[in-house]
Amino acid sequence: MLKKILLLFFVLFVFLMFCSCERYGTEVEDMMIIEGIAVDKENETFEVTIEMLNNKQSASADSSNVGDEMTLIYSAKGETVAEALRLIINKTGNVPTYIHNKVIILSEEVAKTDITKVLDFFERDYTTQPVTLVCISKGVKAGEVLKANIGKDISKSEVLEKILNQSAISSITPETRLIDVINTILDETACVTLPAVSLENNGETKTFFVEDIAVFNYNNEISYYLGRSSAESFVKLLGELKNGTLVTQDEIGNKATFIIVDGKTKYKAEVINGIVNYNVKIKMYCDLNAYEGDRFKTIKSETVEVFKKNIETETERSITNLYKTIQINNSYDILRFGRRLLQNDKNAYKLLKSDWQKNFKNSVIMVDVEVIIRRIGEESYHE
Amino acid sequence: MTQTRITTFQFYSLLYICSVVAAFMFVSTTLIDLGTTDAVLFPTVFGILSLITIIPTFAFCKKSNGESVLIATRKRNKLFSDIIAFSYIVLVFILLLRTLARLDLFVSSEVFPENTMTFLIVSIVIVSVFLSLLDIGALSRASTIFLVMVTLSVSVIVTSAFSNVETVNIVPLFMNGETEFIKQALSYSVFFPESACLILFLSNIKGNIKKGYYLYILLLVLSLTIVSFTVVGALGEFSNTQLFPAFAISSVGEFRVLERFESIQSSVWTVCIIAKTTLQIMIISNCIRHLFPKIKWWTPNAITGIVATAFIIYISQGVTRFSFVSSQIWVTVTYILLVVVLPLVSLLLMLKKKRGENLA
Repeated sequence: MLKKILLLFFVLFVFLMFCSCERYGTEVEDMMIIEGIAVDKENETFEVTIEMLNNKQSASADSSNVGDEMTLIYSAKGETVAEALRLIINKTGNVPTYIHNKVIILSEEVAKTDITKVLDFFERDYTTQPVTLVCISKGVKAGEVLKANIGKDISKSEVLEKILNQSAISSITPETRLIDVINTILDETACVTLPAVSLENNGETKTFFVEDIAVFNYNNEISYYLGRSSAESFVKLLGELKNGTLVTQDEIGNKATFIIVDGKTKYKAEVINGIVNYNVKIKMYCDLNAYEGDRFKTIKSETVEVFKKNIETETERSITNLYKTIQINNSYDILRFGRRLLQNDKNAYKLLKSDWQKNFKNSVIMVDVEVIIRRIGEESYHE
Repeated sequence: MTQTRITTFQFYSLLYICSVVAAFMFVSTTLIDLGTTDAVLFPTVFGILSLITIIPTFAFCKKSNGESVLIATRKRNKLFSDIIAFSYIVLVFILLLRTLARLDLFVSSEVFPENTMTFLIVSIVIVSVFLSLLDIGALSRASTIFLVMVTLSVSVIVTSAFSNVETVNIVPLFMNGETEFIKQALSYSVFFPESACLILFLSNIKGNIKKGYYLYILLLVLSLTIVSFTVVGALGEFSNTQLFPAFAISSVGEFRVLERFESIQSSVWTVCIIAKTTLQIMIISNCIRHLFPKIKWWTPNAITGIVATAFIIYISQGVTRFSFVSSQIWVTVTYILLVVVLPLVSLLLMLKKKRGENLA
């Protein structure tokens, strides 16, 4: 009998103790569920802007009748990011919950000094998540991105998160979760890159725009931007090629658009006479999506072969050019090629890592692109 | 020890969940780098070490004819048996404090951050004390149920985080040299002294102890290797910045609709920790009963609970006190004494007396 009572006590304990919210008695309405955080800096003072869910609207059974915006924006200033975020409590009366935070936007001003000082809070705090996306606001204050009018009843952070995720899937910008940024910072030979978000005017409203990539130096300070065309080659060279589009031409200049359905990048690094030589093999599986030249007639295998050769040559050239651009621009190893050397030859890495910037500048790359045209769409094909 | 009979499967299920929960409560230290690829091989070293360090225990099993260490040594030398019991009380109490301190740190950092969790810890100690009043059979049988929960949890964590494994996080082995690797692997291995329980519950276990042990070690090494690989591959060096690296992988992965399933993980691990603390309180109480046979049946458990609570309330106040309890030197000393020295000394006593008996 005693055993049964004890067992019942145990079961009740588990049921009563492990089934409720962190803060006992907290209603959804009273929580500050943060969706996005923007960090600006002015004269050593941080200004933090947050986008939080409008819980009154979210908690309503029929949110359309509430009439308020889906999210609310608040700002506060402080000596540190952590202090500024805490001071937002004075405006909302709710304790912040970062677990649903989707994006961290840093302004260019913040990025001018070591970003690890700002990111430490997001890495250390109990409720922040390592998968939160990080980006830079280009040409606009970070707070303005969250305050931008992009439409009614829209969570701006959610939209930005989708854009950043989709950009990574489409191989336009690399994936930059907090964990990726921290891992790159911890890599002795690597420099951080972050996607840059800008605002575009779209009549009365604005649109988010992510194309460029911000490049950081070895002190984790912003240095320069890579433009759209470089950014796409950068993603390919980084080994994060997933999907994307490619435009090429046939013999007489008709344009063809291909969808990249899959991609693989392999690296081989060896040191010859003190110079690091990289052999990069990129394999891309592409599907033809549109072609100007055939007037709906059957596409010939020779034409497909021309496309294949053209894509291979163009990609090899653009990647080699990007590599040279990176080397010319202070040789910040944003490709994590030091790490690739480590994976191939740890002894050479140990010898060269102390002066990696110089060794990376002197390094040589050989790019070999192999394109496999997987499908040609729903139109007929002559073998 | 109580004479409830349990199967080897039930007993090793209990040891397995105690070991796996230790891996998930593993705190990053300066001595052990869990972010490098070397960490994937640490469980293998642990497996090899376990096969070596278990030799005295197996030899003791043979000499004692299946009697547990306290019963067998008492028949030979009461004073020695009492010293052994006292040693177990002290050493397992250190383990109990470490388990509770880890739980306190885990709960106050991951589950209920920014809150003092004294109430919860005290509640868990009370529950563990009550459960320890039940015999090892009840706990072992419950462990088979917990085993299903733990297996599911580990599978979900690994499955969800596996897609986040990146080749760039994998580096060549022995980056800091073979000596450093061995040092780190041994430092890691001593965090799993669960096999020390075997010698204490020999009388209770029915079945092939050796076969069960090998299977337990094999499955444990396999589980820990998979977890380590996922930590290294999915988190990389980021894992070294995390308080609980193995737990951190649950926040990286997503499993279909369950985006925040680390909350479920927390409750699973907490239940497993209750099983672990119950086992530890049970061992201490049984040893106290061995020293003071006339003591009331519930008193040792209550005393253990009260003393442990007092210690843990003190430890809970400052983070430096946590590190004292979990310092590598304490962990290493308790492992060596519990897993190697005590079984070896007990074995020597058995051999000496046997020889004496033969001469007589």
